[in-house]
Amino acid sequence: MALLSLTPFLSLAVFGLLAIPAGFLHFGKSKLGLAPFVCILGLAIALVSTVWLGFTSLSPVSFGGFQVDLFTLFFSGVLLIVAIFVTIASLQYMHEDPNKGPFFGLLLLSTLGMIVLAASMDLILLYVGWELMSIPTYALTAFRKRDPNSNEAAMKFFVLSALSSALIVYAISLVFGVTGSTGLTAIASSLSTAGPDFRPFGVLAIVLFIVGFGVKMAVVPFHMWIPDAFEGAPVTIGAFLAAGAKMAAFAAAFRVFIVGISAFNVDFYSTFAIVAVVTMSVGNVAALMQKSFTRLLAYSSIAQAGYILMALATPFTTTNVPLGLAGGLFHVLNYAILKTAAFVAAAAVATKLSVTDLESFNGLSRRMPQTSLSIAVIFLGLAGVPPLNGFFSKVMLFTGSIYSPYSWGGYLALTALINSGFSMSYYGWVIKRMYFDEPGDQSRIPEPRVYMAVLWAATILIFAIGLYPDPWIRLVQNAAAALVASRGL
Amino acid sequence: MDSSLLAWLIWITPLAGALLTPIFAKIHSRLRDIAAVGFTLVAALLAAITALAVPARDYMVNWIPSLGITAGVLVDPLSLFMANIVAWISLLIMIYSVGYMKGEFGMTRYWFFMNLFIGNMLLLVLADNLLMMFFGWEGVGLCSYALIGHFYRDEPKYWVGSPGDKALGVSEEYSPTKAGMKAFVMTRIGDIALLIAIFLIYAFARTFNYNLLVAQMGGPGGWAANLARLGLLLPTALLFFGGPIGKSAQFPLQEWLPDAMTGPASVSALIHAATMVKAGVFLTGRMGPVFYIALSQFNQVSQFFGVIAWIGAFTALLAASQAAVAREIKKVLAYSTVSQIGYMMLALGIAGLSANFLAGYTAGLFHLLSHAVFKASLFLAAGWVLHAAESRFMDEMGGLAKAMRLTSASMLLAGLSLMGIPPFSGFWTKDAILSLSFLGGQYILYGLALMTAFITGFYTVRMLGITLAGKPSKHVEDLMESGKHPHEAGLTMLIPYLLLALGSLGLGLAYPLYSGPLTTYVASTFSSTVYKFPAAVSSASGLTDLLLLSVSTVVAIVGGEIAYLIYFRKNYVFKTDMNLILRFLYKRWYLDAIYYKVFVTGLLAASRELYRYVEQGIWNRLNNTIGRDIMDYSRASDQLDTQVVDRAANEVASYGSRLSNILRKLQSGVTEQYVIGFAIGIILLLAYMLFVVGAT
Repeated sequence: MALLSLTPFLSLAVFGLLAIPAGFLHFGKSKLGLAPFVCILGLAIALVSTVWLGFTSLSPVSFGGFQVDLFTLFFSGVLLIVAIFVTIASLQYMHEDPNKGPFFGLLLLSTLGMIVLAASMDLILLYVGWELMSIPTYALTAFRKRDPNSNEAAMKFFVLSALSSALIVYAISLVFGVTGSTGLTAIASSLSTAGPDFRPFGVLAIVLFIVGFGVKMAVVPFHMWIPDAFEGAPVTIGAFLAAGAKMAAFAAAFRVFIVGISAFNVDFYSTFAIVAVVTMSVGNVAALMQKSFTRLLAYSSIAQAGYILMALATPFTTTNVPLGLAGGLFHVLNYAILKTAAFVAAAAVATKLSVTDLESFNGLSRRMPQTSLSIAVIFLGLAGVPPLNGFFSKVMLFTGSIYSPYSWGGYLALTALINSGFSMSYYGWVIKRMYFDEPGDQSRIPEPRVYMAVLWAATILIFAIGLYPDPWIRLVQNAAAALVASRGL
Repeated sequence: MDSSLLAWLIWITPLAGALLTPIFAKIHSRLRDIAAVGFTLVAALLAAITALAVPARDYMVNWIPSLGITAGVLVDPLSLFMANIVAWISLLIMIYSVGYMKGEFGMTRYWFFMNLFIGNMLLLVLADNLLMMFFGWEGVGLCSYALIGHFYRDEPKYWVGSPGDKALGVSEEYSPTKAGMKAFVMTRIGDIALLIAIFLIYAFARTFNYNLLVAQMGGPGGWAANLARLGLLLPTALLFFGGPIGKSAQFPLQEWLPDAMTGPASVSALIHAATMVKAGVFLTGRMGPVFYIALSQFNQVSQFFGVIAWIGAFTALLAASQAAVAREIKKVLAYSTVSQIGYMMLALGIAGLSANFLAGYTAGLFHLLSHAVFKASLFLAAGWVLHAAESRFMDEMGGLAKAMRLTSASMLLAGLSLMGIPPFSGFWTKDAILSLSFLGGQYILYGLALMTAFITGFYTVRMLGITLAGKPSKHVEDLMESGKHPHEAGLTMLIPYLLLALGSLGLGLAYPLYSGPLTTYVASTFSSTVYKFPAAVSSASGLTDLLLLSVSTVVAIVGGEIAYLIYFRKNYVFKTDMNLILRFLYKRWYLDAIYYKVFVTGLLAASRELYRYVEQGIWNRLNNTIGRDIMDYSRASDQLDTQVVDRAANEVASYGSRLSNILRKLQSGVTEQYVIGFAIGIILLLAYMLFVVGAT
């Protein structure tokens, strides 16, 4: 029966491999081909089995370094929702592209890598997941191979991402050198008794982990590839990177730091607090200066990463799952939905206008009313305006920070709050452009149904989570408890 | 059926109505209009029925049990008093809108936001906890942004400010969209302060619920004591008051309201009389007593309430002085609102400063009621006046009384109430505030309030004189020649403001009858077992009261008399060359311009510089110094590209050339900068962890 808990992983692996040859098969004259449907089927089976497992399996199932617990299932659910949104939006976005098989196949395999990351309790497995997630995304970023921007973005992404992989391997080797193990629980018990001689190596490993994960998590100053990559990549892949890969990196960071490294007697919480403050501040200030919609989304996603990092800046005890950690997971969920939807909206605009500079958003509410409405809702959600979903996760994160035993917790919360208020200026500015400025061109733009389906689904979720957050909060509290429990101490 | 459902429906009905408006609009535009007014009517009726039939209690339901957060409506005298004012005045404004907005574009949007506005305000009033209150608070802000910018096409006739007005080089003219944005951003400043305070309260009290906040305040171990131990109790209270300062347009955040006149007159009336600006006064009234008992444990009452009182009194005078020189009729009324809200804040502040908390408290709330009635009337009537005269400038009106007798009569009645002339309601409620500040020993505050009363008399009569009395201006004569005679408003418009003006008179005449019972009713919000206010001290002798009454009345009449002599007979001409004092007042004490320079221009510039230096500058500079080697390497490989790869590319295919282009871009330094950023990041993190964290 324990093997049943591998269904999401197996489904993605099998359908991911099937999707590539399926790209050659077509129904009649339809251009769409079979690959997207194989992809959706694989994701759907994975999501349904994830939800089913979440409701039925009470105790974690472990296969050595591979653990399926509520934390794994939570991230797997979030990432699969992102992948489904991205796939559906890509049906339209990649409509003309002849190479659908590889596109959707790589998408599935990368998703598999992400959820493996969330499941790994062993650093070697974690690294395998990391590469399985990363390598397909390089190809996906460069997918428009005749578009120099897409290629340039992919090259930058590749160089920095490869660097981050190298740093992670270095960190893993340091940890192995100090503890003689790659399993996170073994590392924890070994680190808790490590003597002062090992201290510098441990500290170096922590820094390298922060940097390595930080590249994908969009931590300042390791964020610089993000605006370029998001702008150059196909827009739906931008969503996949911003919401999928980034959240998977957070999953890895949560596992490594909370299960493995928290046992080490080095106070890394204040480091995360500083990194969080710098990240959110730089993201918000830079976002105000952007002239392109996708670059604005990129900087806003950097700022949001800063908020989630606050969860890692909240220390915890085994007896009490901290509010900040649950809030961080809740923000992962909300952010994933909001950011994917924002990119899909950008895709809807980009497909029709072929540009995404902010000027072209002037008066968009009269040209694309449904898209504009959902962008407005998404932006208010990102800004944390009640009663939308982003509000409650920020409440939990910020209150969690106030509860922190450190005296700087209150200041961290205060900085985050001011940042959050400041962010309203650029979100509001875009909404003003859409609703109050005169469009250069008055013509109505058709809004493809496929995009609208994703946008409406996201908008409903944004409201539903915001108005009745209770079940979701219980979910993230349980996921956070599972994460803390997986320390096994 | 549970009777508490009625209370829930008070705020749910307008919100649901807003959501249904687009659907009704699809069926028929007439149905949409009727339904929109209907939803407000239902809300008003429900508010009245609830006041009569539903037992006063906190009706709570579980909302987010995992965080211990409940939702609920708080049915108590304070919330019902406020909810009825909001709902009934909104109803009259909605009826007026049917006539006033006939034929305008974007009516579905208009009704949608009006109902959403009213629903959010009612939610704010009826919520039993700070969190739901904040939902309504944010909703009100969003709706005001949308409604102030309703005429988003920015036609010049909807602007506010005289063409070419400038202070310190900053334009004082506001288009609807710009004014909407200004209102939104400016109130946000207050909102952030409020949010910080709410977070602090929640973090320490672990509840948002008003009643629980009071019940769990406790002694030494309670949340108030814990906050006070960290020295945070007074800052929390002051930050909390930041929200009302922004929303109710009090100094130093008063500048958004005068420009918020770009919306339709009905929107202005709604913002000024029933919703938005009253939200701040209400919230101060809701949490004031909680802070009072919290602060009284630590002898910090007078600091907090002193701030409220001083801000109120100063704002009252500041705005009144600006109203005295304003050129646009709606701007006079806007400054006047800021000034009158200042009175209410003064009263709430005096409550904490004097021995009798409840007297000052109810005085503030009663002035809210009488202001809501006469200001709604004035705004709605002014809306018609400027529509009929086809100008927003008072100097382009004049002599309109003959053409519109009933409108003039209702403006006169409401104006007398604003001046505080007996027996209008404004007289009683304003006088109560003045006498309380005198009896409370706050003589400077009393002096400020008295000066405000004088200027109020002046600007009210000035406004009436320039617009309604005197000779018709050239603009009006031109209008008449072209065959457009100003005439009386239609009934849907006339009845609401006439009713409100008469209501102001009626409320004044009946004041001695209902003031006692209503005071007892509102005061019964605070049961004496929970709220331990100092026992009411009997007020001063009848003689002192009479003396104070006559002083404030005489002062207002003298102010009015001066304006009467200057403005009533003559034809008023607006002059641009003003003397120093007039210019200072007319340019809003230069506050608006200074704010703009500091906060808009300054903030944008600071962000731009930060972005330039942090995001772009640092890496470039490092490239020039530390990264020189890498640049050399980059240059070398670039040459390699041009000489080897490119040559090959020319021969092979364009595909290869593109690749080399990419490589060249990649090596032009951009990616190296990123890698240097990396390296610096790693070094800084290591240094921090080894030397700062490791040292401890």
